[in-house]
Amino acid sequence: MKKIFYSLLSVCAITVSVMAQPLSNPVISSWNGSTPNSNCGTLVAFTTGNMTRQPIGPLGSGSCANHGCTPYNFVGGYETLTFKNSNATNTVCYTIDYDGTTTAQLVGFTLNGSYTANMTCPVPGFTDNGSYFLNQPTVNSWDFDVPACSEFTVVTWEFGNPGPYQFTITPQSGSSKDAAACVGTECIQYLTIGGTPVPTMTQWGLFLFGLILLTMAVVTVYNLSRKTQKA
Amino acid sequence: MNLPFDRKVFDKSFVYAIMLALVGWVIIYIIWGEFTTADIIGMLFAVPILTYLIHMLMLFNKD
Repeated sequence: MKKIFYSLLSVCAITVSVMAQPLSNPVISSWNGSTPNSNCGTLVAFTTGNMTRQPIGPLGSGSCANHGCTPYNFVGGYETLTFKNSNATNTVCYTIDYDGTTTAQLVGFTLNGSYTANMTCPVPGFTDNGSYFLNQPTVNSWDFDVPACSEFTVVTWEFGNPGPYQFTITPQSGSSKDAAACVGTECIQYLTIGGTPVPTMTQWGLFLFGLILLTMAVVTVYNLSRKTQKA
Repeated sequence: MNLPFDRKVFDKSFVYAIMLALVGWVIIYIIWGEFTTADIIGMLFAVPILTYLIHMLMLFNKD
């Protein structure tokens, strides 16, 4: 009896306790070949092969004769971090914010994956489901919508001698269940009491009606059997 | 209509009904993916009735 009871309790506990791995901000990288600190679980937060800085360049020197600029070589790197909106139901609006500790070499970031530019996005040309490269992001905060249960990739670019950078990804809802999660996190269907207007009362009504009829039938049979026994 | 009732048997069957209710909650969540107010109200009515039904079945075995 006790075993059955505890088994049932275990099943319920497992069902209820399925939780997302919310990302604790900020994400910090030193471009030093080690895994950036994102508090996002081990190994699952980053796309294959792009965990650390990938070198690029030199891309060539610019003559810029007509513009009067100084010729120089582009040499730098990029780092790719992939996150996930683990909310199985809702599109989540995220804000990505490169903060003040980021070094001057940071020249931009790209967003890849399935997303929609949010209405509040301050950068013209930040289009849906594409990549947008920002040159010298003086405005360091951008908003974008990520569909339910979808991944998105943030690519940070630096030129020259790459230095440490830091950014935060915050859901506009402020809810921990919308926090950017690790890649591989299971999408979570959150409990909504009184949510979808499914006509379950009719089903419950039928079920209760059947249960009452069955109980009355059993009572009748019981009483009859008692009478028979007495007779 | 005579409604047989045995307090001790009823208490015992109540435990069984609660366990069935827990299983019911899990099944509801697996099938529909959510709980509604109707489920809570329905369960509140169903548990006592089911308890009495189990109690009756146990009385059959007892007698």
